[in-house]
Formats: sequence, structure tokens, C-alpha cells
Amino acid sequence: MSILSILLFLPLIGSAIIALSPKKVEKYASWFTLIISLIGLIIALYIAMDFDKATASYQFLEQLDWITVSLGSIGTLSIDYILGVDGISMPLVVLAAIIQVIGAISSFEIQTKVKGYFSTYLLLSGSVMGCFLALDFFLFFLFFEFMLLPMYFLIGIWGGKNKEFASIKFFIYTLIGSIFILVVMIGIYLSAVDPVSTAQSIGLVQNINLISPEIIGTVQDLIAKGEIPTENIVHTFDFRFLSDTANYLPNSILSLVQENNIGGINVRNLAFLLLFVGFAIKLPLVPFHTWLPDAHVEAPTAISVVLAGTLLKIGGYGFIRIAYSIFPDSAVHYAYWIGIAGIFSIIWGAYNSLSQTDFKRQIAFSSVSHMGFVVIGIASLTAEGVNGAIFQMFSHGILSAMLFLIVGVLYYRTGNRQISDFQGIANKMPAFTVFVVIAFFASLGLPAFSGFIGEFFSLMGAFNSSHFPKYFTALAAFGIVIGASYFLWTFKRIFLGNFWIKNEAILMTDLKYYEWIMFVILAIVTLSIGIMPNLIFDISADSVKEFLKLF
Amino acid sequence: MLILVNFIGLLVGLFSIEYMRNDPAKHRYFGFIGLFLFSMVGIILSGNLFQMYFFWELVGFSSYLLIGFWYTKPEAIAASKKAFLMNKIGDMSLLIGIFLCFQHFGSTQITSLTSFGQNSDDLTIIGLLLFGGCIAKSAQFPLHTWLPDAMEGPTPISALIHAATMVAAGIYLIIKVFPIFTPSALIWISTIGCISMLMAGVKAILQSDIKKVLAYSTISQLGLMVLAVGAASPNSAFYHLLTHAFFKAGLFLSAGSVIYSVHNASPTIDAQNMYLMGGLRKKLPITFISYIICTAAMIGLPLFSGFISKDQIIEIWYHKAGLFSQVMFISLLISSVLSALYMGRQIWLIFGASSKMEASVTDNLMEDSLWIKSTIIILAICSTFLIAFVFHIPFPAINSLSVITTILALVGLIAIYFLRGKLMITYHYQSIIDAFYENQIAKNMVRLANQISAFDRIIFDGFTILATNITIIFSNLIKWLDYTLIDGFVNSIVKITARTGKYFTRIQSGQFQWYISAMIVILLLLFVFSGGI
Repeated sequence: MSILSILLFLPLIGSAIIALSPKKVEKYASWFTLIISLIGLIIALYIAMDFDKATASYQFLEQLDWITVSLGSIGTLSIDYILGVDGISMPLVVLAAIIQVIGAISSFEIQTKVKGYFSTYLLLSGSVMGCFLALDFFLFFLFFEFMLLPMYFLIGIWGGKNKEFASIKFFIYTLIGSIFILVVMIGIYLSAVDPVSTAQSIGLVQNINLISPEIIGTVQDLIAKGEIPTENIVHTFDFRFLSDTANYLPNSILSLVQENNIGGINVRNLAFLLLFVGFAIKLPLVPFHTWLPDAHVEAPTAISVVLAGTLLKIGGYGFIRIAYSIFPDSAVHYAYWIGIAGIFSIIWGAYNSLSQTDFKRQIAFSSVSHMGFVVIGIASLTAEGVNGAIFQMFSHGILSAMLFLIVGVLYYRTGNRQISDFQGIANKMPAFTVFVVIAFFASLGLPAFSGFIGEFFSLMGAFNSSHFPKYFTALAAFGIVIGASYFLWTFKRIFLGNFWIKNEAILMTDLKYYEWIMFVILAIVTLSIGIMPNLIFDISADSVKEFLKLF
Repeated sequence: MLILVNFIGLLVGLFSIEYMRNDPAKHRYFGFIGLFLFSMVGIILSGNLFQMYFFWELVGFSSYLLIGFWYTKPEAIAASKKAFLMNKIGDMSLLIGIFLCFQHFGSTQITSLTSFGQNSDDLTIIGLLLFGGCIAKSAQFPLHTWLPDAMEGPTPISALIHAATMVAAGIYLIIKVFPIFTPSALIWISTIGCISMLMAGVKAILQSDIKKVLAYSTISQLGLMVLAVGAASPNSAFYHLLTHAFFKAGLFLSAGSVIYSVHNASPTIDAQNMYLMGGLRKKLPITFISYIICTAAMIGLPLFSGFISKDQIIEIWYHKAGLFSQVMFISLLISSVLSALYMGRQIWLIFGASSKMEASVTDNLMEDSLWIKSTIIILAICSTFLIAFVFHIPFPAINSLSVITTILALVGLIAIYFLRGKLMITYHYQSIIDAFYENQIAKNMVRLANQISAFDRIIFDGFTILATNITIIFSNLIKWLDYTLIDGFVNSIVKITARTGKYFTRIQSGQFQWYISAMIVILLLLFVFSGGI
């Protein structure tokens, strides 16, 4: 069993162990989860250290035949269990591992149905990790869908007052996105061919080890000429083959050569849009974002941390790995509009955030705004922009985790989240305030912290992009100014001034030791990648270069 | 510049040791100052614009921390927020300017940026965007409103940040990137500088707060420097930046000394209100003398540093041809008079005349510790012509022009002496620009934010709810159809089967006669149909 499988199955097995363990050892579940998460983090860091930065190809590959169905006259369907990381997924894998640990520490506050909670939590973590590791579309989709289930229960059972509504809304929204993705998957299944297995099945090579680029070229030629007998075609969901348009059957529905139309729209464009919307819901992009604030407000702190920290990133990752890689032509076609959507999201989210009275809602909307930078970074299709988008995803994962923990600290002490019910917290909680300053200012793009690099490079990519005009960047920069206003305003209202809280009976104590640990870890991460952005850019650069060759 | 920042930083640090002696959060204060100096030195040492931007933002951040140092004081918090946001607007302009530079020149090395003095729309825009950063940081019109408010911070901070270093960073930037400015950009720059200079000069006359006068005078002097850059003479701008840094820091620290003494003498009194002071020259002689020297430097009397640098700027504009240059030249002269007016007024209010404070307070007044005295003496010395030797500033030629400016400054001072009884202007006003930001922009932003969030709730969420309701209605319809049609169909089949069954059971009556007759009828029918026999 290779290292990626260990990373993937560790939380899943942990989840099963907790679920099956007797009730009387329930109190150890939190420690068990933390240990599992720490081991996961160590493995993820080990992979990152061992990661070869000089190559763009997938590393730590692991491939097993999983489902192979002979479909008679239309060929063979092959679904593989393929795991691998490249420069695009590597930072996100590390992020997911870090957030898993932070979430596990933060979960120590959970008091009810402990066993169920931690089992579900690990299940969620495993599925998220699976999304980033899977290189087979089917496998990816499996994890993508499976993630919904634990999330639904985590919000629905351990959530706040309005938890049922929020969890259902979350579920339905994401499910609709999944359906869009599923539709495209069917189209891909009908169109894409695995040239390696096909070469085997038509007898070009006997042994899979003898496959060379020439043979793949020959097969692709044969595919283009339509000379391969249909019963010998091996259909695939392997991402590595899906991004090469030569692997699509010329007479198929998603073929680049044959311009199919449905209702006047090119089918490839349509498929791209479906994928785009599917992931845009997850990201979330305005106008598909309204599930997010509801879900966040009702979710327990740890789940908010995981939701903002890693789940949203699957949307951005899906853009790069799936929607853009499979349909590069459509991506270019819609780049202008996607850019507009990104900027709209930045400004819309920022304005929304400005008007919120609930602290957690405000942070949730700031997520919407910050994820907009990911979208314009990707839409720019420049090296700066895409690297910046990956960086921004990592950075936002860390910072939003920090921001939600900040809300959690206040909520845990007072059971209240209204901004207007706090004042002058800095007087009573000076250490906490220091971390708040770090998180707020890093989020509004202060140099030396990670948010700056992410925003800076996304904006620069947008600026140098040939796909949309320059004033887009100016608009996005305006979003940063609004971002600065709401963070400063909130900081002023909650933390500065003379101490006052609504419920005066509550003693506001400064951070507890486990809260210290979480904040220190996150602050160190955001500071170190803010000062040394190459920690991430070195990993992502080559893969991004390879990715951009598609366009 | 490096010497300047570190030297003033050192003096301010020394001064603060005494000034902040009783503050419980001293450690935080000195930490922030360290951060500020780090960022400031970073700006100065940066060789490319990206790096400079990095420190530029950090300067904004550390100034936010320092202005809002007394975080329980509402005005201080509001001022720090305002300063940061105003600066952020400028930063964004600068950022976009840097992006454009990168695109245009393929590099952001400061040495590679030049327009060769040619007019080109692109370069004009780039230049003005970079200048946008300077407008915010150096508190130029129309983003100047943060600087007077920033006086809520501790006084040494005002000396360090809002007189000598941070605000000078904007000027430093435009001096550094000077080659990029096209002639038309320079006209814009001059205009902005001129407006700031005159507007702030007039406002400085109307203030009652000791530090606000100095704040407006800083804006005015920065406008002068911008004007020097606009005259295509970055060197003279830089000289004025240097001399200004010393005499303005001297003024601020002397003002700090006044505030500190008054505050120590009577904690209840508003130690920054000049209208309550007077006659302090006897109590605070050293502060008084330093104040006089620094003022002389500022209004440009000969033998003092301001004269050397200011005269150069005036001379450059004098020698330029054209109506625009003449307007600028006259504005400079007016500004000279204005500076003499507001500084003379301030000195008179604080040190001149007789004391307006109660005797018990005046008795307690005394010159402060060694730390404070020594720093202001050093700065006063630096405000004389001696400073020119240190920084190799060329002396201007003494000609009729310098005589005129000196006379104008003296005229201003004399005017103040004649008006000495009428200096306490009670003029309540809210700055139009501030009101505009407050009422138009800020309120509209919040209103727009509320509208957007309402839109979110009503339209986007409404759409979701509508979709949900449609689904529910549709599913009810399906349920009804299921019940009446499909189930109805199935049920009717069942009913029909049952009924036919029942009907046929009647046939099976068990009566033999009935069976026989039925058989005969059927046989007959068969015969009839099969052949018609």
C-alpha cells in the first residue's frame, strides 16, 4: 500500500474504529481523532518534502484496476483507482491535513454524542482528502458526493438553532452541483478513450510497460481516423487522458472536431458550463453562494473551519483540474465572463460582509469575497494568475480557519455572535487580540502575510491577462478597499474602546492553552508562506506551466 | 534619507522614554515604533517597486497601530481606521500603477522606469497612478483628511510619522520615480500640490488644537514639495524634505513638550487647546527657543534651514515661463505669508501674551526632563543652516527674490503682532471634503452594502425558496396524479376485474337447465358463424 493510500484511508479507518468502539471509551475519541490527524499531517508533510519540484507530472502514483465492465459492441468501461499528486494538488493536500488537525483540536469543545461526531468528522476528512488525491473522475466524484453525507449530519446534528434548514440547504445546493457534474461525466464516458488500454486491446502492445509516446500517438491517430473497432475501445475517466483532446472519439458528443450543438450552444461549451456551475456552487461564486452563510452560521466552529478551510477549495481545485483541463477551448471562450463573475463575487461578497450584524455571517461573506480572487486568478489563464489562485486557496484556507476560530472563541465564551454586543475585548483578552490583528490584517492583504501574496498574484494575473480588460483589476482592487473597511470596522467595534459585553455576568478569559496552539500554528503558517511564498510557488510552478500549455 | 529616518527615529525614541514613562503599555508602543522604522527603512532601501509596495503597506499598518495606540479612545480608533482606509485607497492606485509599469517596462526596477520626458497617454496614466499612492501617503488633496485626525496618536508619533518620515515616503516615492512623469503628469502633480498647499495653509490658521495647526502645516509643506517635483526639480523637493523633517519634528516634539508639561501640571485641562495657554515662554524657555528656531526655519527666514530649500523651489517656478508657472509662483508667495501667519499665531497663543491658566496650574509648570530638552535642542540646531553642510545642500544665491520672500514672511509675523488680540478664532466648521466622505461616500457604501445584502436575501434566497416551493407544489401535483390517475387506473382495473368476476360468478349458478340451454345457444351460434349452414 503506497503512501497516498495510507493518507487517504487513515481517517476512514479511524472513523470506522470510533464508530465500532464501545460507548465507554467514548471520551478517548477526541484524542484518537487528534492523533490520527497528526499522523496524517506528518505523512502529508513528508510527501511535500519528498515531492519532486522539478517535474510537472503526477507523483506517488498508484493505480489499480477497480471496475472494468465490458460493454459489448461499444467497448469497455474502465474505472481505475488512481491516486497521485502534482503541483496543483500538493499544496491543497497539505492544507487539508493542517486544517484537519486544527479542526480536531477545535472539536474538543464538542460535548454531545461525542462518538458519532468524531467518527463523522474523520469520515469527512477522509473524503476531502480523497477529492484532492483522486486522479480518476469517477473516484473523484465518489468522494465529492460522499463528502455531503458527513457534512449534512455534522451541521444537522451538532449545529445551532436553525441547523435543519441550513443542513438541508447545503445538501440540496451541493447536490444540484453534483448532478451537473454527473451529466458531464456521462458525456465524457461516451467520448473519451484510454489510449494505453486501447493499444493493448487492439494488440499494438502486449505489455503495458512497453507503452511509449509513439504508441499513444499511433492510437490517437487511429482514434482520429475512426479506425478502431468500437468493441475494442476502452472508455476512461482518467484525468491524465481526459485533458488531451486527441483522446476523444471524433464522432462523439464532446469531440472537438465535430461541432455538436444543443439548443444553439456548442456541446463542449455547455458541458464546461455545467462543470463550472457545479464547482461554482462549491466555491461558492455569486449568485450560487447563499448556502454558505447559512451553513457557516449553524455549523459548530470546527466544522466551519473545515468547511471554509478545505471544502471550498475543492471548487477551485475542480476548476483547474477538471473543468479547465478537460475543456480548455471553452474556458478560453468564457474567460471574459468568468472574470466578470469573479470580480462580481469579490465586490458582492465584500459589500455583503460590510452590512452583516452577525460576526460569523460576516466572516462567511468575506470567504465569498476572497474566493473571488481564486476565480479571477484562474480565469486570467496566466502563470501569475493560476499560481496566485492556488496560493490564495492555501492562504484563504489558513486565514479563514483562523477567522472562524476567532468567532468560535467569542461564541464559546458568550454564546453570542452579534457584533454590536461586544466592545473593547482587547482590554480583557490581549493575547487573543494579537491573533485577531494578525488574522484580520493578513486577510485584508497586509504584506508579510499570505493573503497579500495570493491577492497580489491573482490581481497581477488578471492584469496581464489577454482575456479581459485592465479595468477589471481596478474593480477587484476596489473590492480590497471594501475588504479593508469591513475588517477594520469590525475590529474597531468588537475589540477597541472600553470593555463592555451585553451579558455582563460573563467573565471574558483570555485564550486557553489549546486555543493558543491552534492560533500559533496558523499564524506561523500564514507568516512563513507570506514571507517565503516560494514554499508554495516552487511546488506549483511547473504543474501550472504544464496546465497552461493546454490553452 | 536613511540617516534622516534613523536619526529622527532615535530622537523620537529618546523623547518617548520620558513622554510615555507612565503609560502601562509602553512595551507595545516601542515595539510598534520598531516595526514602523523597519518598514520605513525598507521603503528607502527598496530598489524595485514591488518591494517598495511591500514595505509601503507595512508603513500604513504600523501607522494604524500607532495612531490607534490608545485603543480605548474613540477618536483615536476612528482616526486610525480612517488613516488606514485612506491609505489603502492610495495603495490600490499605486498597486495598479506598479502593474502597469511592469507591463510597460517589463520590470519594476526603479532605474528602468523613464518616459524620456515625452508625452504619452499611457505613461501619464502610470505616473498619475503612482502619484495616487503619494497623494494618500503624503496627505495631499483630496485624501488629506486623515492627517489632522491622526493627531489623536501620541505626540512623538506625530513627530515621527506625520511630520518627518511616513508622510515623506510619498514624496520620496515620486522623487524616486521622477523620470517616469510626463510633462502633462507634472502639470497635474503641480496642481494637486498647489491646492493642498494653499488649502492647508488657510485651515492651519483656523485651528485651536496645537497639533492640528502643525498637521495642516505639514500638509501645506508637503504640497510645497509636490510642487517642487511638479517643477521637474526633484532635488529641491528632496532638500526641502530633509530640512522639513528636522524642523517639523522639532516643532512636534516641542509641542509635545508643551502638552506634556501642561498635562503634568494639571491633568484635567485640555493640554492641546492653544486658547487655554499663553505666557509659557517664562516657564518653558528651552521649548520656547526651539519653537522659535524651528518656526523661523519653516517660514523661511535667512540663516535657517527652510530658507535654503524653500527659496530654491520658489526660484525655479519664478524662472519658468507661462501663465501656469506664474500662478504657481504667486501661490508659493501666498503660502509663505500663510505659513508666517499660522506659525506666528501659534507662537503668540502658546508662548506670548500672559497666561490664561489658573495660578495653581502655572505654578506647577516646569520644563521637563533631560530627555525631552536634549532632543528638542538637537532638532533646533538641525533646523539652522548648519544642516545644509551635513546633507550637502547647495545654498541658493541671495538675490532680490530671496529678499522678497523674507520680507513676506516678516510681513506675516508683523501682521500677527498687530492682530494679537483677535487670534482666538471661534470658527466651527466641518471640512467639506470630510463631510463629503462621511455623508456621501461612507454612508452610501453602507447603504449599498445593505441593499446588496437585502438583494441576497430577497432575490437569491427568494429564488431558492421559490424553487423549493415550486418543487413542493409540483410534488403535490404528482401525488394527486399518482393517486387519481395512476392509482385510479390500477384501481379501476381491479374494480373492473372484480365486477366482471362477480358477473361471471352468476353464470356459475349450479342449475343444470341453465348450463344446457347455454350450451345449445353457443353451439347454434358456432354453426351460424362457421359456415352459415
